[in-house]
Amino acid sequence: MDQGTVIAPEGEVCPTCHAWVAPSANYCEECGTELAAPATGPAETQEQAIRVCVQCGAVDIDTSDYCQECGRRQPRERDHLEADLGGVVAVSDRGRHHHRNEDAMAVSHAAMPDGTPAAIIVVCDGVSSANRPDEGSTAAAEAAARYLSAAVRHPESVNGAAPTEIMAEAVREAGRAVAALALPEDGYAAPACTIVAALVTDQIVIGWIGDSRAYWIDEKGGSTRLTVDDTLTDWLVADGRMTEPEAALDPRSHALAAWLGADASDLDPHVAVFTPPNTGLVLVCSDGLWNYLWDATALARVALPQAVSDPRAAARTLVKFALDAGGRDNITVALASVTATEGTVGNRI
Amino acid sequence: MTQLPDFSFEIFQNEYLPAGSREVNAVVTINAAEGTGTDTPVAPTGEAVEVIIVDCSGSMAYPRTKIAGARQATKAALDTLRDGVRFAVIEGTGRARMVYPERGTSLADQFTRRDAKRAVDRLEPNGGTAIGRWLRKADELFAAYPGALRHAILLTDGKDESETPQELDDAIAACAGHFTADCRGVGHDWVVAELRKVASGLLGSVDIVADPSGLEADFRAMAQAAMGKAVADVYLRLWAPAGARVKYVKQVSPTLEDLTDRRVESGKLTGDYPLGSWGSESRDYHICVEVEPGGVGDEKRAAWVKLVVADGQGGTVLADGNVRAIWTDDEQLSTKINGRVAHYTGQAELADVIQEGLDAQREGDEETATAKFARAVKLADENGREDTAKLLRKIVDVDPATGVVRPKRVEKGDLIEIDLSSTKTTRQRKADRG
Repeated sequence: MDQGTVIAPEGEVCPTCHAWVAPSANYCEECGTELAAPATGPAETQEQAIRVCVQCGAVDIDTSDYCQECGRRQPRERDHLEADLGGVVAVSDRGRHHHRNEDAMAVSHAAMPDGTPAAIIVVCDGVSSANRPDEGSTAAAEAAARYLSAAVRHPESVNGAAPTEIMAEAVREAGRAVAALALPEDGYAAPACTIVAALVTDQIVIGWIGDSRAYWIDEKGGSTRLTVDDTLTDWLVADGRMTEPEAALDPRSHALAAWLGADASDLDPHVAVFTPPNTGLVLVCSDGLWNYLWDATALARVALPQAVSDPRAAARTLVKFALDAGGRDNITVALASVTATEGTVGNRI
Repeated sequence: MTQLPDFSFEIFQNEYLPAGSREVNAVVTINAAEGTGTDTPVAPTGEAVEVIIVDCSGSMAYPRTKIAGARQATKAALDTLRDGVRFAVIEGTGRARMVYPERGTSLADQFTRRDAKRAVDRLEPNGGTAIGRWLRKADELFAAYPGALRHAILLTDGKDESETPQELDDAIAACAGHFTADCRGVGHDWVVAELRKVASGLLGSVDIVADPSGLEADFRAMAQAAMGKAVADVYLRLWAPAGARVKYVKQVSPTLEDLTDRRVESGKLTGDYPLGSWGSESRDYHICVEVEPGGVGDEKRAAWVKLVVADGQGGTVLADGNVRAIWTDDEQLSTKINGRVAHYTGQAELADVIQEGLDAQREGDEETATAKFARAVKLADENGREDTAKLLRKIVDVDPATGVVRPKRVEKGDLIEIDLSSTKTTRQRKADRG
């Protein structure tokens, strides 16, 4: 399944300027392009095709997705997702061990009123021990991307708040979206997830809760991690009391100290600002990737050099790396490329 | 007559399997609540036929209360029949004789009920016991009403000695699917295995009426329950994937009943298991299927379970559900045993241990019997089967402190009651539903 799939806040993307447009709009509000029929998504094309069982080749698939011959449940669309807006890409995969993909991603382009382009990338990882983690991560990623996109396009709607404050509010907005999914019978297992979001203009603003990470991948070799996980082990690493390889082996390395969800009160989003020194990429990912590539330099080695010229290929290479290494968890990676030209740095669209 | 009950379907299982494993277990709970909506007729024709078979063998005269109790009970059952229900009474000896009416069946009304009761009053013990021939006679009567709700009550006090075991087996096989039969043994001289075979083959219950004075209430309850059934000819339809093997299908509540061998192929990969008729009641089934293992992370439908009512064509599906299998290498997921599955696995083990003890007892192997009964006491305690534990304690003494077991003097009636109790399961308490 390699059709572009974008979890799109507020409808579709303008093919010319990549701004979000309402599903019913005939013209793009940003650039005036006449909008053709909505881009065909994977769901539409599949409905018409004859479905063949991935296991036994039978053509007898029932409406609940089970093969009537061998019983195999057919892969869900969400098992592998790709989104490519040009310069902003994301790839998500179920991995080799989980039976469903509980990660979610949202990517978007938006332009500020003065025309400055901005890229938005969000990755959320559903907490497996909670109920409906896949719904939780989807709601969070969409809510954050939608909030960031609206704030970029209409600064007046957030009273001209600073980008760091916009980011913190986007994470809180995501938290409210997850909390709203809780049902009385969920008890302590209400949907929960992590979040990492990046708003990329001439600087990079990162917001996160949990253990999904952001990295700066530098073409010239200065790659670095931009986040600190909400785990005891990563606090110890940040404090210099544990090395990353030690943390990777520590059973506590995935015990979250903070998450989004109905049972996460007093949400305190982490926000960081990074000014890119060179051409490179912002990478946000779930632990399904960094479990195998936690070191920024190692990540850069796998992603570069194609990352700058072909970010989508780079995202696929990274996901494949994690799959080949075992794919024990869902793997999601989103990239936004940043180009430095004549002293200015900005997202290349 | 009545409305189609509202059926609901619940499946209890741990769908997570360790990588490479094949066996999938699930307990299916099917509830039928009194219908509120559609005015669908009960049995396709809306008719009901009740046949009462009364053992009038010579032994029914000793003690005299037996035949008196049987007459009383039959008359009570006749009183519960609604007007318009078809009925007949058969006298069972070495042959089967019509008591009322002289041939065929009568429609119940105040006059036919009165005449039938008079005929029943004239029943006298005289002759042998040939249960198979009684069943065949009843089958002839039911044959005229294929679309009706068809139920028989069979009362006996002795061993089936006027025909060969093969003749009885053949008769049961010939009648299976034609009507359901609840069987009652009176006194202590009948053979549980024999009557269980009849009840089981004809999808009914078996029980003891130790005291003939208890017959009347029991007959009335059976006839009432039979008249309360809302749907005749219900099937459990089971689809399993290509390459799978259905290891067993058992009814596990209210009683244990192995249905595995009753499968009738009903389509490619699909088989039907007859369940008889259904009223406002709830039953549990344990389904065990072996499937080709999928890869880690894969999901399969290991079984597709449907409750189907016969409609003269392919059957109408009343409810359905999926038994799933998801392969994982997460031991935390795959090692959990579903509470309901564990509960009924324990109940089935108890029944097996009791049967082994009874077999040893019959063969005179006192030592094995005592050991089995001691184990049964422990299982009965663990599985919340207080009644069974109490019955077992009548025949074995278990020292609670030391665990030492001593056999007690065994009464024949105790063994019958333990035998019958072994297959009456309890439901798991709500609190520990898993």
